[in-house]
Amino acid sequence: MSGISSCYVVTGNLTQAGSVVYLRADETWATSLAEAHPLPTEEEAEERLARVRVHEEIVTEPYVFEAELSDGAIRPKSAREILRSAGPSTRLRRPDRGAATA
Amino acid sequence: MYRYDEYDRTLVRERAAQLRGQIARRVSGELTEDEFKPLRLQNGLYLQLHAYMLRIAIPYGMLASTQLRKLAHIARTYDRGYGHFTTRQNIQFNWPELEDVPNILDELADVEMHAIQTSGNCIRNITTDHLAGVARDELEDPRPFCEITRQWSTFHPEFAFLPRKFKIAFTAGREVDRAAMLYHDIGVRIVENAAGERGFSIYAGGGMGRTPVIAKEIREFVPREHLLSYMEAILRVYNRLGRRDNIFKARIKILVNETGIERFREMVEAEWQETRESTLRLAEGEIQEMAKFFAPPSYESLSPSDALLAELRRSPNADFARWARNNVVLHKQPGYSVAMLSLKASDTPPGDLSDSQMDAVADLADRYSFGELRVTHTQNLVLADVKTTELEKLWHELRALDLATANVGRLTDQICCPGLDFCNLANARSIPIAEEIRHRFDDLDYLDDLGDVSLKISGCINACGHHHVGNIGILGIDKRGIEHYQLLVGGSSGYDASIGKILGHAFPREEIVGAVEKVLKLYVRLRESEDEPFLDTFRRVGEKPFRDTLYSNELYADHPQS
Ligand code: SF4
Repeated sequence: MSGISSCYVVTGNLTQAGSVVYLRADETWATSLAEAHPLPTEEEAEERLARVRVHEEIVTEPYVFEAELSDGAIRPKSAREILRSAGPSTRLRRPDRGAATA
Repeated sequence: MYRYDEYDRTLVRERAAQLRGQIARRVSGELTEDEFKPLRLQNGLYLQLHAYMLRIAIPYGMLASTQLRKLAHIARTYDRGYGHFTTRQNIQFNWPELEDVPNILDELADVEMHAIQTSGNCIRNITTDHLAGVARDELEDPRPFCEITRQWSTFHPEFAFLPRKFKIAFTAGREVDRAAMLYHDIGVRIVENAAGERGFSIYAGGGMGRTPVIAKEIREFVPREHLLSYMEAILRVYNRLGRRDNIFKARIKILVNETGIERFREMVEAEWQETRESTLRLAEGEIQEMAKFFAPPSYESLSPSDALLAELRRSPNADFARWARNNVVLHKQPGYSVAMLSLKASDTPPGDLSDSQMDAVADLADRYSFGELRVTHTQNLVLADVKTTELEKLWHELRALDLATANVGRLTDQICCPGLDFCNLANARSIPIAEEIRHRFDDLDYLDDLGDVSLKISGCINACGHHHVGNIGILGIDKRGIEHYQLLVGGSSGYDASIGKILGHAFPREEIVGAVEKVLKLYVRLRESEDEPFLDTFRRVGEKPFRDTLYSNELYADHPQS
């Protein structure tokens, strides 16, 4: 069934690499928003957040943001999260040294 | 240039080693982020949107070619091949990994650089006029006093945890303030009193950010030997009374405002009685010793070259002539000129320089300018001591490096903060706005016709992009998750400081550059002559015509998407 609904995603930055990561369903971390686990309510997201927060040596300052779920695709509601997921919209001088690993 | 002594060398090495240990403990989980954050911030290490960001101090904007080469190496080895020069004359790397940071600090220590006090609630990098020592209107080179202040403020035990960050700027121009001195927590202007003695006019409580304030003169004349004792007195009063309960009210500008300048002055004067005869009193010999580090380079004895420069500015090579007009400044030493390298070329974020450009500029500094260069608070570079006869040769080399854009002081010589493309605090992007402005106004004849118009862009109210003091300022705001932009008009960062005025509601992304164009068109229509600068026209006619042009229906007719 298609349609747009709200969802919540747990995110943070890898402590060592600094890169943006998103929480998967199995509570490992993905560097791509497409792999994030969209949670239907803020309460559920906060619950997950509390569980992963104890591992701050892996991910620093995790938090929850709100997004829209449309045909399985997650689209953040804020410009900030859109840019975090897509990377800077400006031309970088050279390509990434390699994607961060979770 | 100042050279480190053994004390400086030990200090930066020890700090790098200390951070290495702290990072190891953070990665092992021994330190939480709450514990680690203040430690990393003391070393200029931020966590931004996509990665860590390391801010490296460039004291009062002075760089040796060896240091720039090292920055190129760091950009190449540990980052993504570029660095970003900031409005505080520092450089930032946007992509270091945590465990590389101590290695970067070790590498920096090799060339007498560091990241100490580039963040946190302490006294930050001392800034000054990028033409220090070479400007014709300069009373005295401010750099020895900047270095004296740097040494006093580095690891000052009393001022390591101030209510909020603290910025000090020096200026010595008789006519022009090129350091935005009046927007600093303390602004120091070198002056001469009626008796012909040199000293300082001291201003306090300036700043931008959420509450922009022009600093107020706190003492008209402080004798040279009391520079530190007087600043110590100001800092002590601020440290004691500054608001620690509310981050938005913690800067000295709020204290000065709430106390009133008279009462604040009384408190500082009382405190000064405690500090003025202390060890902080500077002996003239100490000042002279420090001044030796900033002695003029070994200039050749050349004939005056003003006439030659005037000729170059009319050269049949129109591109070079324009560059000589816009990017070359008269030097006080006969036969020499100051060359400004614009970091506002097309398609690169303002203030960015690639690793290969850094290496090449370091070579140019060696060959043309005694191995030194400077960073401006407007995010450009300066080769301060170039023989006028060599300008054209230099221009050819700069052009090959895409560093000869002839727009210094022009509209497209924009100050622009990293904004939402990088910054954790941002509300909106600023770099794409700067890019769009550069593309919309890419006709250099038109820019020359407009004359000097400063345009400054910040991605949030913190105002790192100095939007309050641009003749035209742009401030990014967030309206329900969508980027919008406020337009400000009439700001100035000079001795005639004024804060730009917001004339109406914010514009959506797709309309802000059109709004800038409206303002410029109106200016061209209203100016009394081609020689009347934008700011003078705005001050003469007032804000109403600008408001009308921005917010009349005509604008919306031009922009149907609104
Ligand atoms: S002005 Fe705001 S968005 Fe720009 S760099 Fe400063 S804090 Fe970041």
